[in-house]
Amino acid sequence: MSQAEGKTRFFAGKVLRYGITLVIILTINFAIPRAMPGDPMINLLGDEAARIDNQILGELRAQYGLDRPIQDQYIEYMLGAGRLDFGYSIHKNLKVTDLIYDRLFWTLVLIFPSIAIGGLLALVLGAIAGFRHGSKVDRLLTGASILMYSCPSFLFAMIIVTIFSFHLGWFPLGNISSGRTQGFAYLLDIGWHLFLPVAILATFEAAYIFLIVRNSITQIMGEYFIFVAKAKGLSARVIELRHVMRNVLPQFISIMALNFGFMVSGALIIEIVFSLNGMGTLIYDAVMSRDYPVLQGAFVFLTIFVLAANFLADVLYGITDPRIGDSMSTGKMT
Amino acid sequence: MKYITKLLIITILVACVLLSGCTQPSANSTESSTPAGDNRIQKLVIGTTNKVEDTNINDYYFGTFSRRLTHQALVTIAANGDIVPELATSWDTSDLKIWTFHLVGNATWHDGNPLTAQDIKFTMDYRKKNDPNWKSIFGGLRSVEAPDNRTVIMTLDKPDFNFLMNLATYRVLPEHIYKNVDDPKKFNSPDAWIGTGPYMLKSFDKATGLLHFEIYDQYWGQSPAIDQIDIRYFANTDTMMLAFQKGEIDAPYAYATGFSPFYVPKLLDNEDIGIMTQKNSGITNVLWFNENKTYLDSKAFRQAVSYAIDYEEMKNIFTAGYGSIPDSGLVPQCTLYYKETRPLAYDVNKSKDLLDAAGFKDTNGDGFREAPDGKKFQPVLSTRSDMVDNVRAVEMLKKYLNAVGIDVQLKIMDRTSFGNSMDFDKTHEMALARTTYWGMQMGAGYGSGYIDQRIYGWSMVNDSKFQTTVDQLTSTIDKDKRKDLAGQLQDYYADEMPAIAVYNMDIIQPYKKNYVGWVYNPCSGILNYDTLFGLHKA
Repeated sequence: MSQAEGKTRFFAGKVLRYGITLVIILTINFAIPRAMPGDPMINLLGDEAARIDNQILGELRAQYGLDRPIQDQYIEYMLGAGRLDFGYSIHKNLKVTDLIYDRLFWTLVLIFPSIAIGGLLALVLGAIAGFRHGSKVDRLLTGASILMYSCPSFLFAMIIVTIFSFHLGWFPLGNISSGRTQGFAYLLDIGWHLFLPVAILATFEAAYIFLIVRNSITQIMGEYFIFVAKAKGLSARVIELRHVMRNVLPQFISIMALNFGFMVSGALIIEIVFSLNGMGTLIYDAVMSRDYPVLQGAFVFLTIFVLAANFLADVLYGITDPRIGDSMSTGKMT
Repeated sequence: MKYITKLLIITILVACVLLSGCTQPSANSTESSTPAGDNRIQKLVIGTTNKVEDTNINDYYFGTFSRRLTHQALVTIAANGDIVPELATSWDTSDLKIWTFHLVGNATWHDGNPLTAQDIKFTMDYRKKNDPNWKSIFGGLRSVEAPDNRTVIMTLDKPDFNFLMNLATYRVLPEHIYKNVDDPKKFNSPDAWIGTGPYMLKSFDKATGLLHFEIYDQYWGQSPAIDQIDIRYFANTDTMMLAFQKGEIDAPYAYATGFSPFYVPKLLDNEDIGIMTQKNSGITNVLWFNENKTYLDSKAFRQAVSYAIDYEEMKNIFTAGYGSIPDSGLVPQCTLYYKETRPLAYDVNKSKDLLDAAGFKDTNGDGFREAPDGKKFQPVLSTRSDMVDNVRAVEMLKKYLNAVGIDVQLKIMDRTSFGNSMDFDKTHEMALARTTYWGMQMGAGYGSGYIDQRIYGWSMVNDSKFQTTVDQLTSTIDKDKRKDLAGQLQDYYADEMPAIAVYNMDIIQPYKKNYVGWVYNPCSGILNYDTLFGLHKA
């Protein structure tokens, strides 16, 4: 088998596996909201639901397709998912894709810098602590990391807001912008508004990944091949960068990819503290109001993001670890 | 390592300083504004946690803010709770069935077109077709006629004293705009913002939720006292209160409710902030009994529960001194025709005696009472998980009920499931939930809508004595008779106890003292015409 054929087979296998995963997840996404107790129509109608007759309720259910057999709803949902069309939100009266595009955009604006900064910080600090295992620096950084990781994010965010926004007045108390600014001033305004939320998310990201990087390095430093490298007379810097860090990278990439998926939906607390309109609050509101179309749409997008991040991680493994890269080329590893 | 640490700290500090230098003009433009007149306010910034998702007329909170500022109804509710004219200068009815309204002569829409009686008729006919809540509000409205440009005649199926109350919440829409709109929930362009009110919505920033209103120069009435109003959204009350203390907003606003007393001490430290307290026309927490459920139909049981609760302790814990304990007659003291009934009292021995007499006895010696038929008795008490005080309150109620031998089971439900159970399925047994001012007006008023099985029916009362009183109250105009009937309803509540008002918290409304003339309205809070037309610099 040629190298090109091996790569094609490898990618075909991956695509098939991700495709099956996607269908399974989409099916679960369809089933879970409907398995929850509570009627979205009752939530939609609020206080007036009790006085509405069944005919009107029936008409409303028909309007949102909720009166149709479950298999019909499923087929329509899968076809809609293929076109990224999930109809209208029951609760917000808006087109689900428009709603998600709006929210997803701001979530990504928040998440990308947070993950990049947090990951980089974790890699640098984790390396410092790992290579100086047992030192004062290691104890200080590890202690700080555990403290940060165990701190409730709402409490931490409120403390930061109280200090930097309320008392010092350096940053705004929330929202994505001051509103009604344009051009470069608008971009600066957004940067100013996002500084604290990004800093907090990056800190939490760094605290979590720091422990993984540090522990990986500590573990790898005790491996036999490191002992051999030292015996060969290689300098500490060469051992650290070429031998240790290279072995840390697959785990680092893996955890970054997983975190990306979680953070797209999991920045809820930060969104609430800073009044940001992101995917976290969208999903939370949709769960609370049983807004099936929004839930389904949001989960489909999140699924795509998680799978894409994992796929990217798979590819990056091959680049960072030649053994995996070789097996990709020969198609022996799927 | 020291070098790296220093470098990191310096980098962060420099970035902070640089970015803080990029600050935009403060949201509180009142500080930097130039007064248009001696006492005029150029801009008022209101903070809120009520989120406008979209500017279509079906959006709940867009409806809330547009009704306060841009859109009007035939009548409105004054600060003292009276129905007063708005687009109708006067109205008359002889039988509470046929209502004739006479419109103001000079009202115009924000695009300059005149308001006519045909707009009123169109609004009612149009919303009948596409408002899902129509039937619950105007189900009894048979027809609307517009015999001339200034007269509207509405005919009901049966007399309804509360008809005006429903009209007060219903925004009039421009026919020339909406006659071409098939689906109003998808119509959110600036044309959807056109009303007859004193303010025009000039922009809505979807990303931030910021609504910007400016005064309507051609407004048919007198000119309001504030040139511009910003409604600024906050996702949580804590941050909003920080912004308020910092001076970024002039007042926090929450529809149909006030703010927690636990913010008050911090706010009182700030000499620029004032606190307004109002008696609550709704009730903060009511224990509802579903009388359709076995054992809960026992009057003696409900009365026994009423004596098992330590009201004073609950009031102190949940209202921090800003509350009261309503009477057994349920209705708040500030209600028109309030009648003093038996005060709710904490008497464990009396509770136990009542339970014993009703046959609820501990026959198996496990410390909890069995039902009169000997079966295990574990009534379920439910509440909403998103209302933190309610979750704590049901824990306390469980403690009180356990103390008299009632093995109550708690069920903490999310908002939708709870609403489903209370409003539609009626599967609840006992439940803790609030009433609003608006809710207390339902049916014949006096909370009867919550009690009556035919309307809201949280208590599922189907008693002919009660329903006759409700029906009479709905169709009676005479004030003395209405007072008598309202008293009868309160006596019924005090005797039968279909619901117990556990405690009532005052409405706490903070505001900035640099402006004078804030008025609280039981229906619309501080965003009412008294405030908008009377607020001025201190």
